[in-house]
Amino acid sequence: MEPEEYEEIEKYLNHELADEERQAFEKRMQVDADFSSFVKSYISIHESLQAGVDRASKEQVLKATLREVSEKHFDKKNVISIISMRNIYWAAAAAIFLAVCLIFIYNLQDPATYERFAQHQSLALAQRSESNSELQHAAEDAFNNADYEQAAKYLAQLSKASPDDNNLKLYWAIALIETSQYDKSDSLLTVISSSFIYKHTATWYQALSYLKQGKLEAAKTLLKKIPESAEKYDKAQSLLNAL
Amino acid sequence: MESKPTHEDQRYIEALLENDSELIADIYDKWADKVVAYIKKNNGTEADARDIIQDTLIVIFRQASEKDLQLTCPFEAYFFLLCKRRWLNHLKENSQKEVTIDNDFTSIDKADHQMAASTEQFEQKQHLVKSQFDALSDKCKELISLTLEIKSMKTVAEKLGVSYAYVRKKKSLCMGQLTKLVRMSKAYKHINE
Repeated sequence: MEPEEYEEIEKYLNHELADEERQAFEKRMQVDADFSSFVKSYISIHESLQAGVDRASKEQVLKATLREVSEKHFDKKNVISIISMRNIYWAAAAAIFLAVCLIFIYNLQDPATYERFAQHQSLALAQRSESNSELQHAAEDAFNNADYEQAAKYLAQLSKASPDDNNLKLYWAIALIETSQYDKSDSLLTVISSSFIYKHTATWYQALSYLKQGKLEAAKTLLKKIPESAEKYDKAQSLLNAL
Repeated sequence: MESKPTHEDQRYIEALLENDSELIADIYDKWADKVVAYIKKNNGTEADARDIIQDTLIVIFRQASEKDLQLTCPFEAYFFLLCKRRWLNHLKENSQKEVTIDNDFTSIDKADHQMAASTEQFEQKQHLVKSQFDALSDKCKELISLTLEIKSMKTVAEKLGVSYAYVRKKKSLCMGQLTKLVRMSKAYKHINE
């Protein structure tokens, strides 16, 4: 093969041959076995190099994963086998002691998680109104079965029909917090907080919403605003302590 | 050769392609110990086994990302066979003594042997191209690498401040030389037998 022929191949691969040249090239591929075999090698080597470059970054990521997984797999096993070889009784005693300590610590200091504090009273609407009773039942069922996505939809419809019902708005806001639709729940709670009866309850749920979003300082600030006279005072204090 | 249906363990191959660490951990939990036991029985250590497993998974990833790799046998059989043969090859390369590697591939009709043979061949080819590429001049290596990374020879030409025709000509010379080197090597003849 001559250097000019290499360039022919490159031109062919880049679709830069004129029609006649291309036809001649393809014809030669058919009749000249050596030429055809060389061109195939050229293409496959090019592909192999190109694939190596293309997958390089993915390969780096995979290598890191493999190292991590491998370390986890082997080191975990080794720790267990070292302990069991030294003295299984001491290991067992240590494990029991550790477990007891953990249970003790856990009971002493419950974690300040949203799930722990977000225990909603069940929704009971049906007695309140005669109209819309089907929708009300559906909303209750969805909410009480923790299907908050559906509940939010039903409560939105009910709320539209009774725009002054703050209880509806409150449960709607809770369903929105549960489904992480914080923008909407924020604006609802702001509306509710202007009501004398629901003011502190709205503050409480806004604090829970912040807790769920990990905005702990904002949650604390709100919790401190809930006065002793409020229904949610005890809960607010216990969450404040946990935080 | 009739084409066999894809095995459900194909998901382990996909896991490597998609960097799915949970499923990759599954591979380790299920089969790493078997590889360790085999290597320990054959003059190796756990650390050797870790390397062998990692290298084997990388090769599978490479083949799968380049060619369409369809698993036609259980992953375990394919993976273990590759690890085992990699270890024996390693022993052979690193010891004066003769190490006999059973010819696992004699029964070529078995799906796991077929799969493992195709992966080994892929790796040998790749190795060959890489070693001959390294033997090229620095100028050639640089130019080929640039055209592969940037993909557009026009952009490469602009970057280097030369004409497009010049880059095409130089690249074709370098690639032609590489092709010649690869085809002349002993390993190439071996692979293509």
